[in-house]
Amino acid sequence: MVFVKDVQAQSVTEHLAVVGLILTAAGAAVWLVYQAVADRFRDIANNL
Amino acid sequence: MPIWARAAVLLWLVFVSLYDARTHTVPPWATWPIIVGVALGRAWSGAWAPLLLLALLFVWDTTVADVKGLLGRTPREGDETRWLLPDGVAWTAVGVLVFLAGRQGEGATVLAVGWAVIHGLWRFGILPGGDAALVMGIVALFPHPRFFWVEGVGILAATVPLLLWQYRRDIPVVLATGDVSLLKAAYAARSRPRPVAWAFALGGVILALT
Repeated sequence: MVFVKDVQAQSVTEHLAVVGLILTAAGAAVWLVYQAVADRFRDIANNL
Repeated sequence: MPIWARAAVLLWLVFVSLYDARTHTVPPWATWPIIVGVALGRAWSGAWAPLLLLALLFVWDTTVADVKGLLGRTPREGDETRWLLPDGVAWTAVGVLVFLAGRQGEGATVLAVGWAVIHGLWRFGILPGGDAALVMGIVALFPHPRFFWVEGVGILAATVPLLLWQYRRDIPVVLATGDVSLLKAAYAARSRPRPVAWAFALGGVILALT
């Protein structure tokens, strides 16, 4: 609820750049996972 | 996504950016109906993990004071900081739900990972709540792996030039002297909160146009 009630939408530019870096890194990680181990991961998950 | 829907997304992003520029807020009614609607739609088609994750985040961020407020009772002192879920339990549950979303298709996976990362950034105080909800709305509309790098690169494209301009007098001095601590002093002197929804909307605009 605190999250929903928090409507503030101003931040320092430096924090914004950190968010950009984290999302870009997450994008790279997701891409690597999909390229390298997606099939293997899916097999393991399906066999659990 | 059909052209009319892309146009509607663009209008929404422009509206939210302008609203934020005037009020420094992103109102819940402009973002949460999209987030909840997409989560319900996914659950209806069998991918229930993102909806469960959303419910978990909601409970995780609820205090005893919130619950007493809903029940019409007066909160006691300290209830505002008493949370319903311990952080360790909540983080573990988030991990389990992201794993389960991984078994429910690409869209569900991207939604769960995206919402977990964005909410985590809010919990660590890096992202304000209004902006976090806006980014959660954007990933809800474009639940594709490319969301992450498009949104990330969009934000960097908006912020790096701003930072270079903001520290244009300090960067040459730091480069000349090699004294990185000068940047810390410059940060304390020049860093100011600004409305930033437009920078997050930029990634959404790229996703809507491509």
